[in-house]
Amino acid sequence: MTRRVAIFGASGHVGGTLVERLLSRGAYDVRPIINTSGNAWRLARRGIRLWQANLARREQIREAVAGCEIVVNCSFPPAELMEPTIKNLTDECLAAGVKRFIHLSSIAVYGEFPSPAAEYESATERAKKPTYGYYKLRQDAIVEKAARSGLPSVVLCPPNITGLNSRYVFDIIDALRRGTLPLVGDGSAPCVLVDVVNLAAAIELAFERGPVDGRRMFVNDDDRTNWRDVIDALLPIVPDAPPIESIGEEQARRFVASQREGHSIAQAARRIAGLAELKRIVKQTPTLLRWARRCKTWSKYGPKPIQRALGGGTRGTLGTPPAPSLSRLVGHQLRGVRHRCDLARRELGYRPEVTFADSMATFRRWYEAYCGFGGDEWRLLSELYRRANSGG
Amino acid sequence: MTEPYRIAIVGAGMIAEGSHVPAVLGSPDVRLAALVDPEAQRCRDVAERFQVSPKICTDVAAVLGDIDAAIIATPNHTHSAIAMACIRGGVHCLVEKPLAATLAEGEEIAAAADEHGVTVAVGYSSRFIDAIELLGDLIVQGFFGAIHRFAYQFGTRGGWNPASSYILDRKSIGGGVTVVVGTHFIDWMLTWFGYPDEVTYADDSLGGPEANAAATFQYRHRPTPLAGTMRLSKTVALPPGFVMETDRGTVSLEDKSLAAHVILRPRDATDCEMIVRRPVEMAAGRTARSSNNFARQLDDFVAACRTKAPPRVSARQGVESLRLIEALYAARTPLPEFAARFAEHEATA
Repeated sequence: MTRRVAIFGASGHVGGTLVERLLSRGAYDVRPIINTSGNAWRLARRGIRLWQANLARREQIREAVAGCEIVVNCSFPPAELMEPTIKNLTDECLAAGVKRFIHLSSIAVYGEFPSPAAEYESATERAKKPTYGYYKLRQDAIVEKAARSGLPSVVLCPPNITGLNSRYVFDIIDALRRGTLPLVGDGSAPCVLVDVVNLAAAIELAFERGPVDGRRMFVNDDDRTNWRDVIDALLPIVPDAPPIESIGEEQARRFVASQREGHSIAQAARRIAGLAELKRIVKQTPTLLRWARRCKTWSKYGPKPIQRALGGGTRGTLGTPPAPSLSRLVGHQLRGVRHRCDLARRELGYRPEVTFADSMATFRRWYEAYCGFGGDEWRLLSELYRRANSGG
Repeated sequence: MTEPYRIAIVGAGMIAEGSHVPAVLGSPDVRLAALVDPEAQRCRDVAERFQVSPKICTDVAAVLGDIDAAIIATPNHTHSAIAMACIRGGVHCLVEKPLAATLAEGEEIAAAADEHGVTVAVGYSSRFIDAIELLGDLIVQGFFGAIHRFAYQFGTRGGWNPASSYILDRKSIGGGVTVVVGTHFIDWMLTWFGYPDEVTYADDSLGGPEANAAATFQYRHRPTPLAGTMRLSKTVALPPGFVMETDRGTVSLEDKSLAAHVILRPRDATDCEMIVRRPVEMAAGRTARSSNNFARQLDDFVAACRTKAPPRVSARQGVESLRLIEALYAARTPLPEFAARFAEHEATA
């Protein structure tokens, strides 16, 4: 009998890849579960049925997991909902008698600067509130508790994820194009990544194998990639990137520390102005809209002090663009730990299907096709990239 | 003084709540007479949010006698039936883009509008954006000289969650990203350059609405041959904008929501850029309403209804957009990187 697999977070990068993988197998009754329709295009294009369920609504989860033997959680709720939603999901899976629950943790649970012991899963978790790693750690604790209560749970712990559609790779490309990603030292720091194909393969293996006690297992490409390799692999599709600079470790640490400090008023105002609800209110209030437009104009064309105060002067050709800050990816070069996949190899029989070199080569081909890179139209499209990356 | 036009908004989803209702409530020339949605509670929620009390009903037929015009902001596949009911009832319509889910339905609407003497406008609100309007005027005036090539792209990682989730269904959309996003550019392109002589098209649909699409357009019968491309995505963020290569240089229009100017990088001075915009005295007279493209669209529609002049985007123009969309779909090939998977899908289907 075909096994029914429910995948929460099916519209995401991992969830979408897993759904496509399982559909191509033809051996599963796949139930892709999405939260909202807006991000589900990748799966919708297949013309398959998509289930909608809000993880904050227990009755919707109950309906979604009914009759499912396996439930995979690839959901990515907002930080404040990470704990309650995983609690809802594990409770409903327990009640429904789900035979295997597969949860995605993250290496972020070991903190921004993990200890060398984080080579192995048993290291002490160091993530601090309010980081993403902290909330993932709280989720892991809930899954472990559910496992103790009788929900067979496999927890996979990936690093940043590459592959087609990878937001992380796009972040690296953007940073290269903006010149905000220097190498720390000579770039020999380990860069632990997992191609989404490898992660999906590990998830599928976990349908059958692996410890079900809620313990974490590292899953990655399991090679010796460093940051220099990553940048070298992506530079061919970023021909307009400024030269890659190098900074010292101390400078990188100072930058990371500065990112933890509070916002300036201008930064805070910009963040607030970016909130969707606020935008909607402004749009519907003529006086506010008028003032918002004036601010926007002043930030671009007003006197220099006003431009600076409003954090503008970066669009169009007027004003002086501020010196580019560094990408958060600089901090990733300081992690310094290569997480080992020994446990996943042993317990799941995990073997990476895709090497780092293959992963990057596939990404480059895909990027060329999607973004028109290298074709005749690139001469025109590159103008848009140039403007976007210069803030203009 | 003229009586305010009595308007019904049909469909109480995101676009109505976020754009049409504010536009109607901000106009002294119209009155929100009714909100119509199969889910009456959504109408009540919207009414409560804006502190208004229009008539609420689940079928437009119930209010046809009480309204002068309707804004139809429902899933695409329902446009036709609602528009036809309005037209037969003598009610003018502003139909959200696209005019209909199919060319045949669009032609039926346009013919019925002519027959009943009813104004039908199509909600290509981006035509009322200052920068688009300016660029269109400059192209038509020949300001840039001959235009040789153009490229347009718009890509986001998803986004836009309509209440009905109709975007998950190809039939409800009448296609995929080409309809949902590309139709705006197709409308501009038809207005600026006319109907292309030749097209090629590729997308990644495997039976559902395509998430990614790329098209090329050839204009062979202009004084100077023109070629262009369109690239759309609902899975990849692409810097949005339009660029064209002209006799005067490279012209670019960034994200349509940005400032009201276009940028010219002159052919003979590529180390400088010129910002082309309306004279400052014109910009100074702008109000919040006259800067809001949905408000301007509504004003244009109501003026067209009152004067019987054609609206800026007529039903016939909406039909041409549908014609080109159908021509693109007819020329469809799989996107190259999906070719292998497509073959696999075909084999298993």
